[in-house]
Amino acid sequence: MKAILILLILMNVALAKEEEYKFRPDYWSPGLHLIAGGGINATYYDSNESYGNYGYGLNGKTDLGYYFTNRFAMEWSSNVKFNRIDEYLVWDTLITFGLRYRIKEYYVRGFGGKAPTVIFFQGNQPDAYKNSSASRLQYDGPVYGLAFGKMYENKNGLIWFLETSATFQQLNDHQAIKMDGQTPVVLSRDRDSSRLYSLYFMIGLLVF
Amino acid sequence: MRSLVVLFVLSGLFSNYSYGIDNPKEEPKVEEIKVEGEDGGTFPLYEPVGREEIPIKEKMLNFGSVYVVQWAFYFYSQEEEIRESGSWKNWYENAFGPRFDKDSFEYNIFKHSLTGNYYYLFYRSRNYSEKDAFFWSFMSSLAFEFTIETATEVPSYQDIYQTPVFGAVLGIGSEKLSHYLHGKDTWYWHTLGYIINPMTLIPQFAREKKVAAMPLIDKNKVGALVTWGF
Repeated sequence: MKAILILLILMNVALAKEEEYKFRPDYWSPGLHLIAGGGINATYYDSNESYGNYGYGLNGKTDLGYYFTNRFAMEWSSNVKFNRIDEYLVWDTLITFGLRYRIKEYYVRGFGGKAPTVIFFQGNQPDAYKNSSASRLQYDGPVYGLAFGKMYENKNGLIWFLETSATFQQLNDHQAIKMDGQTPVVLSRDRDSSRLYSLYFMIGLLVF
Repeated sequence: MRSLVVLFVLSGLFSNYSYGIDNPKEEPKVEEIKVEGEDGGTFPLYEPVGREEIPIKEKMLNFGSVYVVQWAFYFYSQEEEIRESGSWKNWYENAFGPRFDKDSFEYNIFKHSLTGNYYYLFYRSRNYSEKDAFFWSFMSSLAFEFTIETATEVPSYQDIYQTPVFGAVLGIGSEKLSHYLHGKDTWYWHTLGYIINPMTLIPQFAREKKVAAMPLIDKNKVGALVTWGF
């Protein structure tokens, strides 16, 4: 909550200040910027449960950043990842805070936060939930990640990027959930010690 | 925490006051900007340039209009939920305990992004710059999460982030697509342009095409009265 307020204060400050020059891949303009992109990911799911171990899928991310200088920024990001592990659909939402640093037109990002991970049974209840009306499991736990990327500018002045990143998620507990109309109802809650290791390759652009 | 809230309010005032005090510059009005269509005719610009300076009174009026619509929509769409589990106690206490929700992705990604898209398009239709429209979408989204929806549920971190951010990304795309379709100058492409960006129906844009829309909300139904002059 405090981090959100700090970012909102920075947004206010950024809006009060006029942009002095145009954002370039090798010279960022200070202020508020939004980056959006999407790509593919591969995930290794390390768990005691009876789900498969490897998955792959699509993901999309946004980085809302306050750029302090031409090479350093603080970001609030969301990476929404869909994955198929065996017959299960896995949906992750990585909400993180991080720092971005530029070296020429290359950049590195380090980030950490929380990541609710949802596994949809889609009619294939695992053994532990065979007699349950649960339709999905929601895991909670921290996420940490590192990213490396490069920015480009095309002939029309559009700034775009290529990025590869890796994340580690620790899933500390899970809740079995069923839907009661539009309301999710928690049926049970258990400790967990699963881990998710993911690799991403993404392409995207500077929205503003 | 309290000091951060105070600092946020002060920075907001500073941000607004610093470039919204007197509106000294004359900005071009949207309906005065004409773009050449495929058939050689002209049509009004549906992709606002964005004003550098917007009076704070106008900003408050726009934000207030969105806030009134948010309350109306909340009462209409959550009537049963409010009757069953809504209370003033919830409304006050829930505001202090945001957390990660357990909603499905239809809600968290698609419906919230669509809502954020409309917030963004509304502020753009009022001639806000992209960054200003995003910031005010963020404020409207926060207002909904922390001062409206708390009657029945706690604010959600996913919604706080995704509604305005995904909404702005979607809104920028909707605006460009709508602009492209309005440039086609045929009634069916125009109609699609209005569907993709309904804010182009707001009088500022619609004057040229003599289009107006009025929402009709009844106990068991919702609709809109649309008139189009030829």
